[in-house]
Amino acid sequence: MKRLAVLCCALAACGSSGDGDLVVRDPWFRAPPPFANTAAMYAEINNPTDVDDSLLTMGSPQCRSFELHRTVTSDNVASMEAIGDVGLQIGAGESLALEPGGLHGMCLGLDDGFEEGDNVVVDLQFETMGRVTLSVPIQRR
Amino acid sequence: MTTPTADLPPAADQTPNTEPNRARRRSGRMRVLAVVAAVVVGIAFAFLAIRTVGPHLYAGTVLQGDTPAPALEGLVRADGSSVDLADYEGDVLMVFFGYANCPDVCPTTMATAAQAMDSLSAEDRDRTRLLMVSVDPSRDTAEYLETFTSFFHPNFSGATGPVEAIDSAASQYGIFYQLGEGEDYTVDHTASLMGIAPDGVLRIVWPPEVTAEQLAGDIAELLG
Ligand SMILES: [Cu+2]
Repeated sequence: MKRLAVLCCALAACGSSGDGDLVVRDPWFRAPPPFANTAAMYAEINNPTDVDDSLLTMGSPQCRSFELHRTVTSDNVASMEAIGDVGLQIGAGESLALEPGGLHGMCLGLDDGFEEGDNVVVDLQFETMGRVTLSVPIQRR
Repeated sequence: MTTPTADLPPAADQTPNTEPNRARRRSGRMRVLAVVAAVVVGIAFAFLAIRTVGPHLYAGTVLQGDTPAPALEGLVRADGSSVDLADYEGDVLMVFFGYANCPDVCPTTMATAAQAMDSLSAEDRDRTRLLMVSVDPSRDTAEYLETFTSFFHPNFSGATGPVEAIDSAASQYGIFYQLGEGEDYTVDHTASLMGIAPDGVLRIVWPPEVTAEQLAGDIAELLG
């Protein structure tokens, strides 16, 4: 049931938290330029439950592989590092922001026709909540 | 402190409440209100004047001196032409070192720069351009870079060239870059935006986290 609540919430791109469930707010891919091979996905994940959770992996049938990344900027030099198997913890009552220049989901090996205006099916695997499936719009922002 | 009362005429309240007296009191209050209003308006104008006339506070780091920007020698554009900074004289040229397979930082910077373009006046926008220099020449062709940059704004274009030319440009502009490993390797790179002023001087360095508003404000100031 919990799983379903998150799914519906994300699909409707709702802004309010359904008490007691993980909420994924405003998921989006930055529209990649033509011929691009990679695209970054952002969202805000809120855990209003009283149980700690972790985002372990992400995946999409429209990406050859999908990785959790963190962009680290130090002395104005930006580098990306992959998040290990422990995943990203989202403590009880806390939020996790995937945002430009920081944490992001990275889709590698884009499907043909990965274009602005389309929606991409993305699975998020959480340690406690299990799998959450989202329909993520590709947008220019 | 106590209010001296001895020599004062009787307070207004104690005088008989005749019509002329009330009118005088009202006009006295009006006068006080007018003075207060004038002071408030004056202060507001003074603030406005300071804001308008005062020096612009750049969001980027302003570079002193008047040495011309290093000539990005040996780099070519998609149409085969060589990069010549003289082509940009009279304009603001943003220079960014990046690569087209960069999924997070480069598209974010391009999107920010494109938003800055949108908030410039049409006149300033016509005089603002961006050149993205590849730090991944083995994967980025000039055509590919052009597609990448123009996707964000028509005034944005790309340039690449032999590794030696890129290394030399990078070191002259204080840019660090390092290729990663594996098939889908990423490239660590300095993600600052550099601004060449209309007089051809490398004048400003914007940090990767600069906002579109800050960028637009600085560009408008550089254009004068
Ligand atoms: Cu990444």
